[in-house]
Amino acid sequence: MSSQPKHIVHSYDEELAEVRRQVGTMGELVATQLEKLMDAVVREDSAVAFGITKREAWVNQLEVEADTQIFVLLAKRCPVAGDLRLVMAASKIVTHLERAGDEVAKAANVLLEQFQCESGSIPADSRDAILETGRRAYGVLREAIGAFTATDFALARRLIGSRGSSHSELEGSMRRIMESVAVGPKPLNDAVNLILILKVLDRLNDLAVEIAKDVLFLAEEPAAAPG
Amino acid sequence: MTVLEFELHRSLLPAAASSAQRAARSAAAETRMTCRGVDVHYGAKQAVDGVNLDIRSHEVLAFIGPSGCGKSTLLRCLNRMNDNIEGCRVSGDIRLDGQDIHDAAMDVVPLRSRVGMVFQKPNPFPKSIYDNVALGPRLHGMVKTKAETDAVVEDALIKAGLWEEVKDRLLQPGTGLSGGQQQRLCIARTLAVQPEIILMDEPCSALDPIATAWIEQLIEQLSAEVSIVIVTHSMQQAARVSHRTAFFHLGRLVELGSTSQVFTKPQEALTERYITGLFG
Ligand SMILES: Nc1ncnc2c1ncn2[C@@H]1O[C@H](COP(=O)(O)OP(=O)(O)OP(=O)(O)O)[C@@H](O)[C@H]1O
Ligand SMILES: [Mg+2]
Repeated sequence: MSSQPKHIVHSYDEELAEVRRQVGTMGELVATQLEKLMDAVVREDSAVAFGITKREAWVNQLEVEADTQIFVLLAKRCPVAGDLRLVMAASKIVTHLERAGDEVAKAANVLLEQFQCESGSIPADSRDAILETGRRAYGVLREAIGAFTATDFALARRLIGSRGSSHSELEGSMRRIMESVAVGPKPLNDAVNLILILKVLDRLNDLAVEIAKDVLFLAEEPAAAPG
Repeated sequence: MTVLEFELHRSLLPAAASSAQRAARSAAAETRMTCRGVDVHYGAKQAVDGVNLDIRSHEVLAFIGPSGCGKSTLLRCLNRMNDNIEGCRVSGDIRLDGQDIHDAAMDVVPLRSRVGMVFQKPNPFPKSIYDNVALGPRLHGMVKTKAETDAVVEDALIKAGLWEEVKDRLLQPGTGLSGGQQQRLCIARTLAVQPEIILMDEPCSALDPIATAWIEQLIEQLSAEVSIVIVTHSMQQAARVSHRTAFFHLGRLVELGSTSQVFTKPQEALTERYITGLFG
């Protein structure tokens, strides 16, 4: 097994590793937020949904920290080639994760609104449709973050390739929601809220695919060493 | 946007326009010098190994690579400075505008005025500022009268960005200037004989960031008229000033590409390792 080449200056390696770690932590938090959102949907639990909106500040805090680290590293080290691509990829991923965090919080707020209204719950068929889309987004998001931390380009490519199929599934889910809320007490209100949540989850899937593309940005590797 | 608005917009962005112009010029640039299969030996030791390389008009070409990889040796080949070094043997084909620079018909003195050299350590002659610049043009018979010489000296000092600082003390010794000023004086001396190509061997390594910035600005300006080959150990300097970058290792040319490509996506792992400071 050949070990990764290291920088002559050790502290440079440490700073790059720190950027990687920060992206991983932020990804972990956003994925957990999404997991909690699914949990709140399943259990129809306002407290869980409220917790998500509170934790959104942490996501923003991590974004600021990662951005600062990247900014200082660019100024101090003037990275080039693979190092530059790593830092740029990290910066793009941080931006996408911050948006993903926003989206999850937005969905949590809509969910709180839904719980507070007259019907106060989610019809089973709508819930299933939302969970399906949400779990798919969660899977892609986790894998995309994993592709970055493990520098797994094959995985990133697979995630990008997988995106095509889910758009038609989204239309099916929207139809299911419309049909299931139609018999309830406040069909229009429920439809708006639940479709909003579904859309957010679909957007999260898009953002996860964007993250996979950021990982590929890193992939422009040099040819193997001669000799 | 109307054409007028567009023009106005563009006129407000001189830097963007000029870099676009530079890129266009560089794309249309013709080849000035060619090196084919250039080998250099010092006695039994080979310092440059089979280098093929073109120098284009109006380009800034950076040579980078670890100490001892043959950058200075190859640079000196381009105006036959190695002729003066005992035990140094150059073979291969080097041409300036198609003419073999080792041809019997090629006189080395005019060659060195067409292909000028600026060294790492500023090395003004122990003479006045004026004479440092005037010597070359006089030697090459480019000036006859005092008025002609004055004009050439002033022009070269202006181009080197030194005129304002020295115009009132032209007769004082060149060695009395600061390091950065001395380096610009050496550039003025090179410019005075109207070179077509300027070779610079680590021209800023003894200078502070401000003096370095002046030289870099000068390099950018001069590339409108001449081609410049610069050897530098500063990756950032190569990235800042050059259009193309050549990376050398153990006497061989490993990679030559546009500077933006070499510093973002080098083709060779060796280049990547060198510019990012990796080992192991
Ligand atoms: N005058 C000389 N006599 C013998 N060997 C020499 C001479 N000049 C250079 N060399 C050898 O030739 C090789 C290339 O040297 P050169 O000075 O061209 O390298 P360089 O890339 O310019 O290095 P640096 O970045 O340190 O200036 C080295 O191994 C050096 O020791
Ligand atoms: Mg040298």
